[in-house]
Amino acid sequence: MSNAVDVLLLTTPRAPHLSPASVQVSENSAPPLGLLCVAAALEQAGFSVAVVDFYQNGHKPRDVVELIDVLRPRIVGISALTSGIHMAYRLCRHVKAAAPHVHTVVGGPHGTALPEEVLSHPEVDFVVRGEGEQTMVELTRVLFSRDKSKAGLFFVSGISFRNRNGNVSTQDRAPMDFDSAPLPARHLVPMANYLQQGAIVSSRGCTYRCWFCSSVTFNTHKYRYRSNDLVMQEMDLLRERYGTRSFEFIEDTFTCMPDRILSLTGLLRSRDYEWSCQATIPDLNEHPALLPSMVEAGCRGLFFGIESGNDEVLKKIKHMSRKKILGTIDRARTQGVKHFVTSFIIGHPWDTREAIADTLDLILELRARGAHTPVSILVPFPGSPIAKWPEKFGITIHSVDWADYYYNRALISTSNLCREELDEIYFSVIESVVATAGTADAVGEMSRSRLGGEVVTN
Amino acid sequence: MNTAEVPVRLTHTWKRQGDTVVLFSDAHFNLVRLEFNQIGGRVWELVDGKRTVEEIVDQIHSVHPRAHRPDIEASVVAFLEELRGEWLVMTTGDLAAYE
Repeated sequence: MSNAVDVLLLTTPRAPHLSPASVQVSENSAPPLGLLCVAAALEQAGFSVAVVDFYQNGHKPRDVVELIDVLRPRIVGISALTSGIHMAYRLCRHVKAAAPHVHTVVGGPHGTALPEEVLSHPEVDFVVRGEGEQTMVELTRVLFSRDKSKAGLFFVSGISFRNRNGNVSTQDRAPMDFDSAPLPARHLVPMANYLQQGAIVSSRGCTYRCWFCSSVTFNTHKYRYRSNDLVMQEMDLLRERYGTRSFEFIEDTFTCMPDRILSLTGLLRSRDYEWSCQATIPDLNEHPALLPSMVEAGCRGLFFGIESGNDEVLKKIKHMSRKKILGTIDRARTQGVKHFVTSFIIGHPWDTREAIADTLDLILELRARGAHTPVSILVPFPGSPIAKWPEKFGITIHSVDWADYYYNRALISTSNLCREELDEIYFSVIESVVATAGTADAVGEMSRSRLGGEVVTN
Repeated sequence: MNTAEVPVRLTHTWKRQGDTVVLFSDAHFNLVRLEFNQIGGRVWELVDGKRTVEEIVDQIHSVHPRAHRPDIEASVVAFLEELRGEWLVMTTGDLAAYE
């Protein structure tokens, strides 16, 4: 029996600094749902597909050679974030060295934001910009067609490629009707390997316009969502197939359309599911019925992108205030939400040492309430407003080495703080945060010293 | 770890604080604070992705000339192996596997 497939889809390998244990925590162990949606669309169109999660499995770039040998795909598609784009290039180089006739396609946020840069790497044949489902189906049809000229490429929206006259970018593809997209082809990956088997995406797009976020370049501002019946079907299916009763809605803004959520929670009340989602403080404040309804329907975990603890900065981000943040968290705790993740950013254009001291103060207040509080230094991801117009925000970007685009290193200076100061402040903030580790055992942050005789005990 | 190998630091978040070096590792996703004493901290600082283990041992030996060099070498190698086990350093050879 032949193992051959038409299309092989891959995530990018983990960067060296991430250990195997980094994917053995639930926050970092979800199946690659975006890639599985593309796989489902290809399968629906009649193509055979394999998906290999290099990131989760710990594969190295050169492992793709063996896959090519066994699976003999005609197309290899790779989904890449900015921090993983260098790994995508390495994968493509191995593919081309082993099988020059195989077409290489790079999709995901980085290629969407910077298609010309991705195409400057000769090992990449095509960039898929934006949502990949329909684009990959149409691209695959053209590449599989008998027309040697491949003139059909010009009619595939949302791709960039090279031809003899230079680079070609076809028109952007309009955001798809999410309801008509097939469910992720989870059967193509070993679901038992993932801790977040109940990861689910019920909507795409974001209505907020955060200056540091690149998500809208990929998912757009147009908010689209699956019908609640379909969401319930998917959750029931996950329970039936994988036995999970615990779900995580992994999307930009789960709560931004309160009527949809109130209706969904009405359906969820008849199930014994527990779930978590990303919410915003304004949504929960402006729609008081939302939170109790969510809790009654099994919501036990909330993720908030709080970003700052300074009222002036908060006002500029999401019309929030410290008072509203703490009030909302307290209300949610009282009503039965058990787990909170509140994320923060240091290095906003208006951040000063004093503003960041406010941020640390809020972080500590939230930790005292049991919240997990990841902190990052602002990363100017391609596609974000801050990367597109740094001068407008008084930002200087010091590095475009994408392998450095990781949350714990300063890549920018602001008008108030230079790069070195941001690094130094970040260090002192996380030192203060980890010093409270005793209050956060449940989230795993800890202080330890056990490196033999060379280590001073704390 | 072979003394001809070149170790590379994997975390950027570290700082000298007086006689010690404090660093934070998120290699395992959770944030971990580590503190190295004077010699451990000096070894950490010398791990710059350019020096070999042997050169690091030479540097430490030059500061402690009365110590037995083979003992220093054994300690430095053991320490670096421990750091490698904690995913805090790799060798350039380890990194080549990611190419």
